[in-house]
Amino acid sequence: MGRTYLAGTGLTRFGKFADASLASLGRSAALEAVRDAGIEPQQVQMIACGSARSGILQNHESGVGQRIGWEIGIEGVPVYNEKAYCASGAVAFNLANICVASGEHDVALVVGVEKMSGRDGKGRPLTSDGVMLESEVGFTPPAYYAMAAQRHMSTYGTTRRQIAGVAVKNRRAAHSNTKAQYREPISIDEVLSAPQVAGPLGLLDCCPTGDGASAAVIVSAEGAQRLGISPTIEITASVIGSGLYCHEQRDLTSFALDKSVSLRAYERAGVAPHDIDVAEVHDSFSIAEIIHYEDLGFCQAGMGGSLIDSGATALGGQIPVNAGGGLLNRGHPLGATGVAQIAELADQLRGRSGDRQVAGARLGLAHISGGFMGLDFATSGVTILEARQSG
Amino acid sequence: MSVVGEKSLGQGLVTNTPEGRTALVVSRCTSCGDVRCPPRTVCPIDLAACELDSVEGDATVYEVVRMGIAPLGFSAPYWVGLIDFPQGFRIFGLIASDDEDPVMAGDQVSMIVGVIGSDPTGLVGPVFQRSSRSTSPQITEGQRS
Repeated sequence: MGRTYLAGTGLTRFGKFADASLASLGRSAALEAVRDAGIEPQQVQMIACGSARSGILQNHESGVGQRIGWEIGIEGVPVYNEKAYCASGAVAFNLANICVASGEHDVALVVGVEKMSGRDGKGRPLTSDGVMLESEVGFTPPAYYAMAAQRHMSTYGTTRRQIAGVAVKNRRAAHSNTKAQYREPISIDEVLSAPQVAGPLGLLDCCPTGDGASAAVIVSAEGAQRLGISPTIEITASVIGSGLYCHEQRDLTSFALDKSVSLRAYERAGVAPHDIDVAEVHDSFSIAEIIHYEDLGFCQAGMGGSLIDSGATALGGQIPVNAGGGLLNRGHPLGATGVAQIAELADQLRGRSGDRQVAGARLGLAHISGGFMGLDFATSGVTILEARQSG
Repeated sequence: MSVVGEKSLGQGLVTNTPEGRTALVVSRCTSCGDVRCPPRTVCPIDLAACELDSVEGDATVYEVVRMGIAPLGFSAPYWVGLIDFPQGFRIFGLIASDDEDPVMAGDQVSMIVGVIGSDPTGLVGPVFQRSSRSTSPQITEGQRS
């Protein structure tokens, strides 16, 4: 497999935009990405598009990627549409990366897009596609994470204030992110006094739904040479895994799938958790970020709450996590998030993150969890990017 | 009125035993005896064929949470959790509870068939109600803040 490079990224604002469509959102992000890469849309050789709920929410089940290609004049190329829950964009990125690394194509466009603001049940928790049976009896994602929060608190003594600290930290980071859905600072007391959603988790511990799109251009070394561009970010690992369903008696204080996927990613990239300079971590719910710290190896099991207290994962800390605000604040249009994380990391590694720039960032990690199946996550993904002098 | 599982699995998740008691529908591997709910056709451990069976009796609450904001089709508050059965499987289920004396992790529960969700004419299925309280110390609301 050959080396692959991230040549450009694009990201729309995330939020609730009544006049936006899957096509207009995808078009904006895709055009921004190809321009950022310094290429023309017609030079793209394949499209991979992630969108989790285009069918049920927008009556557009198949062909979202084709529609976005149509919008910007990309035709006659293979288009792959990926549906993998919250990880749809990440899976599209993974597929495009494999296609470029294999040599089948040397210029790929990845798009993640979702439009959720018009959904029925606004203000209520989402259900999850992979657990239809459980949804019949009241399952929602916040219920799962609330149970995890309670287990983490009772097993390790993690406090409610530490969990709330994730929401406060990530909102502070989002303040300078003009594309984030929520930017006004919040306090621990505001998080603690917000209406309860599930168990210990309140509204400010939960990510919003919304609309948005993200895009990335992946090239091989040969592709970059042919196009006359010099990308500076190498994709050193892109790993996806499906749930570990068989063992049902899992301990909810840790997500074994994330551990196995991240270990494979670290091995492939030839780096260790302590090498990572900046990370995007799936904080769909505040407690999730604490558990992911542990599973990704940023700290020992049970020490995630202490890591928040230490400030290590805040801007200016040893390993800033979710420097763009995370899902909690940038927003979580499901299919867009996986590629939005890549776009945020790319800005960090290219030194163009402005007030939220992590000084000297060279290695970035993006982690995402997608959906539920058999009471485990249905999908998890880890991507590692490394800044290089040139492609 | 339909039964939980008929839409998502193609078969109801509760049944009546020959003695007329309600029971949970499970699968049992014809080779290793592994029991699963929802039922499997093929055993995930040894790929042998599974046959339908049913279980009844007490189970243990692994974790339970109070839902303060409900998804479509439900009214808050309601309680859900993970239930561990002595046969070795775990399921997600609706738990009958209240704020005055909430069901806690470690409590023993038994299954009844009740109305699921906020539409009284819509769906019936397994509801777990406490049969005995755990004697293990539990985390308190004070500790949670």
